[in-house]
Amino acid sequence: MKRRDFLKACALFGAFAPLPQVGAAESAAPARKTIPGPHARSVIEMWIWGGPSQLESWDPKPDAPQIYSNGLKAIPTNVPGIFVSEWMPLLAKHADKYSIIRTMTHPYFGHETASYLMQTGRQPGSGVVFPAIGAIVAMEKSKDYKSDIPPYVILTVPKGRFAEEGFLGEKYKPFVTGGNISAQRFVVDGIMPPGNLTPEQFQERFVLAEKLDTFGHTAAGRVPAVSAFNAAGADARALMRGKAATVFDLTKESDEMRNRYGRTEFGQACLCARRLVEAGVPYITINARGWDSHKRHFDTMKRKTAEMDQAVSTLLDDLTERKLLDTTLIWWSGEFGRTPKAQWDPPWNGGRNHYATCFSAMVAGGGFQGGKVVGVSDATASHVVSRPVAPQDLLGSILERCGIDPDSPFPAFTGIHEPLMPHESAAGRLRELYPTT
Amino acid sequence: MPRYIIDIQIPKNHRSENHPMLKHLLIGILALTAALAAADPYSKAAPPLPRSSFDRRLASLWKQQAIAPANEAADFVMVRRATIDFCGRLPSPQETLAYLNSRSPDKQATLVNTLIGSDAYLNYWVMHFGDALRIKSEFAIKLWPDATFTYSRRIREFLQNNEPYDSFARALLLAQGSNFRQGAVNFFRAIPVKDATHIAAAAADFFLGLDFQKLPKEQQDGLAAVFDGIHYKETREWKEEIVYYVPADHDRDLAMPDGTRLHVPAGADARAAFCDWLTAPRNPFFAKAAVTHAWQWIFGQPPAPEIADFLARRFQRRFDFRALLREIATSTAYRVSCFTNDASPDALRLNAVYPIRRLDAEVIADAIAALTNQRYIYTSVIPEPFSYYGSGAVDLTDGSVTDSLLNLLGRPARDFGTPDERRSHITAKQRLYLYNSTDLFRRLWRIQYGRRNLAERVDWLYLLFLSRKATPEEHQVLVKPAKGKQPWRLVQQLPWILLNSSEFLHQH
Repeated sequence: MKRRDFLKACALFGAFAPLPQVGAAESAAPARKTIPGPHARSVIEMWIWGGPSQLESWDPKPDAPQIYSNGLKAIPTNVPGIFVSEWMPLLAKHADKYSIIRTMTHPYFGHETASYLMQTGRQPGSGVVFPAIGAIVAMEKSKDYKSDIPPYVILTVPKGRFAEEGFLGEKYKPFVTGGNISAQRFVVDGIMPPGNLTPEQFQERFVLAEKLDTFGHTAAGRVPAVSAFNAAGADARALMRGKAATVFDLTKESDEMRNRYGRTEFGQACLCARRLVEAGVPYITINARGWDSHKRHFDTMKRKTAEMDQAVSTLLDDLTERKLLDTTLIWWSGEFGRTPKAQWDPPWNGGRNHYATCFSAMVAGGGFQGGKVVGVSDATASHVVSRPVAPQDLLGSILERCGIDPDSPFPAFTGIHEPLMPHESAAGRLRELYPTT
Repeated sequence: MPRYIIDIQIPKNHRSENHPMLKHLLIGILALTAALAAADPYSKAAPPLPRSSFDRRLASLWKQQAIAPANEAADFVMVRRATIDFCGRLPSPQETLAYLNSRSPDKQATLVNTLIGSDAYLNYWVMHFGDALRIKSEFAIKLWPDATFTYSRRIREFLQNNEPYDSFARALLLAQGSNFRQGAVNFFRAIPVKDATHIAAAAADFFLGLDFQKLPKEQQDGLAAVFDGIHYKETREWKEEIVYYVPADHDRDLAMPDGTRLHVPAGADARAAFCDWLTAPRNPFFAKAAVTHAWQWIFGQPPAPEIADFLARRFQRRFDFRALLREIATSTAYRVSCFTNDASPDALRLNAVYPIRRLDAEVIADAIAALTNQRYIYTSVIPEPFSYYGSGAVDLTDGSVTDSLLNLLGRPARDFGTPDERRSHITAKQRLYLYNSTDLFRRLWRIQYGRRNLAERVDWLYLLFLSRKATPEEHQVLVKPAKGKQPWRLVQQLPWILLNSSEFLHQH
C-alpha cells in the first residue's frame, strides 16, 4: 500500500498506542453518560473472516475499468439511490432495514493485527490484551441477564487469533459451540449427551459415580478443591437440563424455516442466532469462514455471497416478523476488504488480496436507521473520498446503541484505566444513523 | 494393604489403675483414633519421620504454630504424585506396581532421583520455565517460532546439564546475538514492549520476585538503567533480530532494590555489574525467587516466607537446582498426605498437608491421549504453512500453539508470565466437556484390556487412571452389585466414571 495511505490512516489514530494506565486508581473518574434509548438487547456480529470484497458486495463499481469490476453489475435496491452488487439480489429488497458503511479504514493489512483492531478498537503493542467488543457487551449486559446460556456465544469456531475476553477474564470468555451446524441434528458438544445416550442412562452413570467416589467421600467437605469440583458438576448437570440444551436444538424449527435460511453453515448459524436472540443472549458472533479469497476469488465470492444473501435477508425478515429487529443490533464486517485491482498474474490467477484502506461494513437493527449509506469511496473503491470510519467509531457506535458509554472506563477490578473504546476519530461515530427522535 | 501396628502403653502410675472404667475408655478411644487414622486409604498411620535439616526446620515451624502435620501419604499416592509433579505425566501401571512392591526402605528417595533428570522431567520443567519467561511466538510477545525453539532449547540445556543457577542467570542476562542462534538473547525479546523499563520489569519479576510497579521510582530507574544499553536490529533474514549492548559513556550509580547502589563505570556493561550484585551472597532476592518458582511449580502455591528463607540460604551455597528439587521432594512437606484432621488454614499454608489442586491442562490432555492410545495433534495456524506437533501437550514449547481442550483447561496464554495466568480451577464448562464430549466418549472405547476377567479389568482400569487397585468396597459395588444390575454393564461405564472423578483430575 502507498505510504500516504498508511499515514492518512495513522492520522485517524493519532500517535502510536500509549501504554495503558495500569495500577493505583486515579482520583475522580468521569461519570458514565446515560445514552438516550431505545437500546439494543442483543447483538449479532457477522464476522466475515478473511476479509470480504467490498466491490462484490456493498460497494459495486460497475463503471470502473474491467480490472476492477470484472464486468460485474450493480443492481438497484428498494431504496432509491442505493445500489448493491448483482450477487445480492435478495438483500437488495431489504435495503430499508440496513445501512451500508463504504469507508471503513485502518492501516493494517495483516489478519491478526487487523482482527485485533476491528474487534477491540485498539492497536496492538500496548502490552495488554484488550477485550473484544463481544466480551465488553457481555460484561455490561450481564447485570440484567440471568440465564444458564452463556452471555457471549460464538457459532461455531473461535477466531483464534487472540483471547477475545482479554483482561476481563474467564467469566466473559466466549462460549464456542463447535459442532456441525448444518447437520440435521446440531450437537453442541458438552451440553448434550454424547453418542446415543438417553438422559436416563446418564443419570444412571451419575448415581454409580457417586457410589464409587472414594476420594470425594474421604474429602468429606474438608477440601475446597473437591467441594468446588462437586459444585461445578452440579452446575454442569443443571446446564444439561436447562435452556442451554434446547436453544441450540435446531430440530425444533420446521424444515421450511431451516430451508428458508439455507442449509449452509452460515444459514443455519443465522437461524441459531435468532433463537439465541429470542432467549435474550446479549452477544452472538457468527464466524463466517472461507472469505479469504486470494485465489479463485470470483468463484468463491459468488458462492459465499449467495449463501450470505439468503441467510441475512431471511434473518432480517424473521426478526422483523417477530418484532425483534429494533432490539437486535446486527453488524457485518471483516477485518478488512480486498484489493480493488484484481490480480490475474500467477499465483493469484484471478484473486484479490487484503485491503484495509477502504472497505465496507453493514449495520442493521438495534436502533440504527436503515436505508442509508455512510461515506463515499472513490471510483474504484480504493480510497475514502469523504467521511472515513475508524474501527473505534464503528465499535463505539455499537456500544452506544446498546446503552453503553464507550468513553467510560473499564471497571475497577481490571486495574486498567482506559475507556472502553479509544476516543472517536475526527470524523466521529455513526451519529447520522442514530434514531432521530 | 499396609498393616498398622499400634503400640498402646498405659503408664503404670496412671490414675486409671484406680479406675478400670477409665482405662477401658482410654484404650477404646486410642484404638478408635488409630482405626480412624488407618481408615483413610490415602494415608499411612503416622506422619512422615524427619530425615533432613529441612525436615527439622519444618517440624519446629509446625510445632511453633501448634499444627499437627498430616500422616504420611500412602505409597500409591506418592508414586502418582511425584511422577506428575516432576514429570508431568501419570505413572504407568508397571511403574506403580514396581513402587508398591518394592521393599527398599529409601524407595521414595530413589523414586525422586529417577524421576528428576528423566526426559519427561526436562520437557515438563521447560514448560514451567516457558510459562514464566513467556515463550510464545505470536501476539502479544512475538518471539516467532524459530526463536521459541532456540530459547526453549537453551533452558533445556540448563536443566539437562544442571548448570548452576547463577551461571544460567548470567547466561540469560549477559546474552547478545541473534534470536535464532543465541537462544538466551530471547530473554530480552520475550516481553510485549521492547524497552529498558519492560526488560527491567521482567528481570525484577523473574530473578528478584519483585513487583516492578511497586518499587520506589529511584529503584525503577536504577533497574531500567541497567538495561538501557540494549538495542535491537534486524537482518535480512525474515524475523531475525540481533540484540546487542551499547555501554554508556559516563560513570553511573544506580539504585538497586536492596537499598545499595550499583556502580557502573563508563564503557562497562551494566548488566555484568548487575549480575555480580544479583548472585552475591548478600543479595536477599535472587535465591529466594528461584526457590519460590520451584516451590510454586511443585505445590501449586508459594512457599511460606520461613520456608523460602531456609531453602534460599541452602540454595545459595552452590545454586544446584536439582539438589533443591530433591531436597523439596524428599522432605516431610512433600511426603505428607493430602488429607488431614487439622483444619486450620496455617496447616495448608505451611505445607503440613499436601495441597490438592486440579492437574495442569497439558497433563490432563497427555494423560487422556496415553490412556486412550490416541495422540492429540496440535497445529500452529501461524506461521503459514501450518505446523503439526504430534508429541504431547507438555512438550509444546510455543505458548501460541494450543487447542480448544487446552484452552478449556486453562493453558496459560504466556502474555504475562505470572502463576495465575494458568487457570487451574475446575469449571462447569470443563465438567460439561468431560461428561459429554463425543471425542472423549469414542476415545474411551480404545482402552486395551488384554485377556482380563471382570475383576481384573476393574483393577486394571483403576491402575491406569488412579494408579491404585480398587478397594474392596469399590469391587463390591462393581463386581458384586445389587440385584438387577449387571456387572458387565457397570464395568463398561467405569472408564467414563474414572475420567470424570475428582481423584483422577486432581493432584494429590
